[in-house]
Amino acid sequence: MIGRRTVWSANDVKKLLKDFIPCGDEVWRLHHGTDAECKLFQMFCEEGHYGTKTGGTPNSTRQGTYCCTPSGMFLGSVNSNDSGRICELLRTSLVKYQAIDKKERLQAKDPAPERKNLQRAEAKYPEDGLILRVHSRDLERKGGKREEEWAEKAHNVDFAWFTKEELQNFLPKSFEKKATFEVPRELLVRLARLHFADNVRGQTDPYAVEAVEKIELKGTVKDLKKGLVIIEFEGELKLKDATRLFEGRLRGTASWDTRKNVFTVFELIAAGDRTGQTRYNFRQNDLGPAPIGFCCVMAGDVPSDKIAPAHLGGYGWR
Amino acid sequence: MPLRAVRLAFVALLLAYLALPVSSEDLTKDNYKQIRDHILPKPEEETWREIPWRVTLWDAVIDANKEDKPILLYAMNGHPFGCT
Repeated sequence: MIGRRTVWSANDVKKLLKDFIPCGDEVWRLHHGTDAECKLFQMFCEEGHYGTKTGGTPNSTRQGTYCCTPSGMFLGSVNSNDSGRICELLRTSLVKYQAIDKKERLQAKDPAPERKNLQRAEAKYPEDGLILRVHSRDLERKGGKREEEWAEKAHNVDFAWFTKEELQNFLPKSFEKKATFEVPRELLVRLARLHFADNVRGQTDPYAVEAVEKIELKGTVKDLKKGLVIIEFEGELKLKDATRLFEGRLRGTASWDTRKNVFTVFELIAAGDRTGQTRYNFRQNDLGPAPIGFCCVMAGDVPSDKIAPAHLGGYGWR
Repeated sequence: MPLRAVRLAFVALLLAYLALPVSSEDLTKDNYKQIRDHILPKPEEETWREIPWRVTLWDAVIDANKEDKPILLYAMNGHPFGCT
């Protein structure tokens, strides 16, 4: 997460990347999966900074930045949030790449047809559904100690997906001014427990279904104009388990285009107080209570807006 | 009051202030925009998205094979462009 700011925003890195095909991917699946993409990663990652050839264990993480050839030959790697070290990796890897025979560095067969056989969560992307980018950040604190700079600047993002059928639940039965409706609890439970868990400082475990003590969201049609239905949302939530709590309010707005049958605007904020921690969310020195906010907005249409939700497995989609 | 007592009182007040729980103000119609703008990333936090990222390793393999270029892979626990 820090790397987005310290490495991938640096101009010298961006300049060197022009000689590369840059990509980002989730490492656990690549490390443990069995399809062609995972096998290619497993070919070169063992030579990298955490690989078994450099003292790592078979199960230790393989997180980091790697350079490789399209055929899967290892060029270099490092796990660092320092842009200078990444620049060095890019420079040395390019020199190595150019020294390898073209027949060795490229795949003999076009790899494109294999794409359809990959076992990826993105295959479940609901093309005609509602795709939200869920941002999380600590809210302004009115008292208490200051945090370290990286922690104060921390911001994370996840994606929440709704199918075409599911998004209808964010609409009233009839498009009349002042019409009100309740969003079904089942859908809200999924949204809250999978997407409103404190991941500001790093990906974390979702809440269990039983941890959702309260969740309500009421929609009201505020206006009807030029084929648009303007809806306002208001609600409350309380999530609580053995190690953490999040309690707060929900509020949002949406605009539904009745001609195209799509949302043109959809925003939903969950804001309140959190306490406690989980295994990975770096809250051991910041147990709270402290304010936190999540803001869901419609995602765009570029590839990096089509990343699968971190806990898609919890959606129950087949 | 002696200087030592003043210092002690100051330290006690400071410690009491730091120990105060920090609580959020309620999310209301009035502060909705302010809270939304605070949570959403600022343009300078999104410049990493200017890079023409492929979001899967295999998409990069396809393009790198076509263009005869090396691949740069940023691999994290949790997709690095999503929740990591």
